[in-house]
Amino acid sequence: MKIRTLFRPKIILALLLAATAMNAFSAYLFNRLDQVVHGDLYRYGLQFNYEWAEQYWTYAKMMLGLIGLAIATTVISITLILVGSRARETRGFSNKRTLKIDPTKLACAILLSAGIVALALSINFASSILAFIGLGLTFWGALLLYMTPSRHVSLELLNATATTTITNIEKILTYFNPEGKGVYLPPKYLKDFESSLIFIPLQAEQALPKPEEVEEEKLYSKNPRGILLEPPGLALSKLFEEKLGTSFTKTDLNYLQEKLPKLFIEDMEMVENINALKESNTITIEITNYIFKDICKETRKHPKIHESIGCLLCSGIACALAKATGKPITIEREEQSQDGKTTKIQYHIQEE
Amino acid sequence: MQFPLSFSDISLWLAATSIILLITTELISPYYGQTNLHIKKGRLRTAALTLGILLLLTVLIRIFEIMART
Repeated sequence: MKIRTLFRPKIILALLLAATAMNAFSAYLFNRLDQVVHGDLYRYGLQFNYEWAEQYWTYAKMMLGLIGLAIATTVISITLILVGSRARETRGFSNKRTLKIDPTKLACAILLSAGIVALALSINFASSILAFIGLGLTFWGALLLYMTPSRHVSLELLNATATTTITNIEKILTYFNPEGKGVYLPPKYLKDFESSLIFIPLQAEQALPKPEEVEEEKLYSKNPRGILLEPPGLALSKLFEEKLGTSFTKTDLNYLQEKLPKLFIEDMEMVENINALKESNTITIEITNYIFKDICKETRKHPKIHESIGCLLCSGIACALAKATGKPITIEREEQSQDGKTTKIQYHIQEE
Repeated sequence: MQFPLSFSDISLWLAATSIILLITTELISPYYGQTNLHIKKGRLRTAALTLGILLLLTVLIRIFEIMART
């Protein structure tokens, strides 16, 4: 007969911890008993003899060894529960439950427990070398636990989620067939200053819509005729603002030139290198080895979105530029080097 | 039973560890080397700076001790 029970790691952990504590207390009580034999009993006439002493030492060592083994077993069980996550593996029609162990967490647990044991032993044996070893192991175990991200999403997964959005925008653009390039509108055109919109005129050289005619909810503007879309890089530009702790509407171009390289390279680790250059009304940004390379490659397969809006990162930077300069921005050109590592983007600041 | 490390031992350990961490933080790259282990560089930097500040604190305490004796 099979009895199904729910897996409750907290209860099992509590029971295992209680077992460890009881084992440790047993070892302490045995040491006290040993002190009684080696101290008090001699005062009551106990005479030392190897006949009884050897048996006593053997049993004492076996008892302490077994208590140690019991503690080690329960500690390993606790570690496995803490570092492992249950995963269901499906093969054919049968479901198989497996325990998936994160190697980083396992390493942290081993370092931490070894460090704590070394520190405890260093106090017991008054050894400074053991104390240094224990301190180092405990510190590196804790540091590894602190600096490893709790959740990590692979770039492949991110790329897969972005592809459909790109295709949908391309479908909208193909349906309206705009002739003009997309213009990233500055905050003064919008009701919500923190938002961002891109206006794609249906005819080339068309004027921008008046601020009162721009509504975030509208997809189509009748006067002048064009499409109003939320840029694909809007969320990214908001993330930049969050990381920098300021809104781009309160900054200027010099601020962006100064802060973006550090943000992109060091803080967000998005690109390997970035250079920004301003010449009259043109801003040229050169990016090397950026993580959105595959998404941008996918965007280039869709000519309309590539021409009008730009890829995810280009769009994010354009949103930031429109907010910081307070002027409409268009992506003039986006070129990629032959090896595919470097991308040069030219933004044009429109004078109104 | 007493902890076998003295104040100066801890200070020495802090100095060695904070230097290693600060150099690692500056040299570490997300693009080269072993990239299977994911780490948050910002947190590593915070840990390195915290250890550096702790080291400076221990140095300050030693200086105050020497000044109090003289």
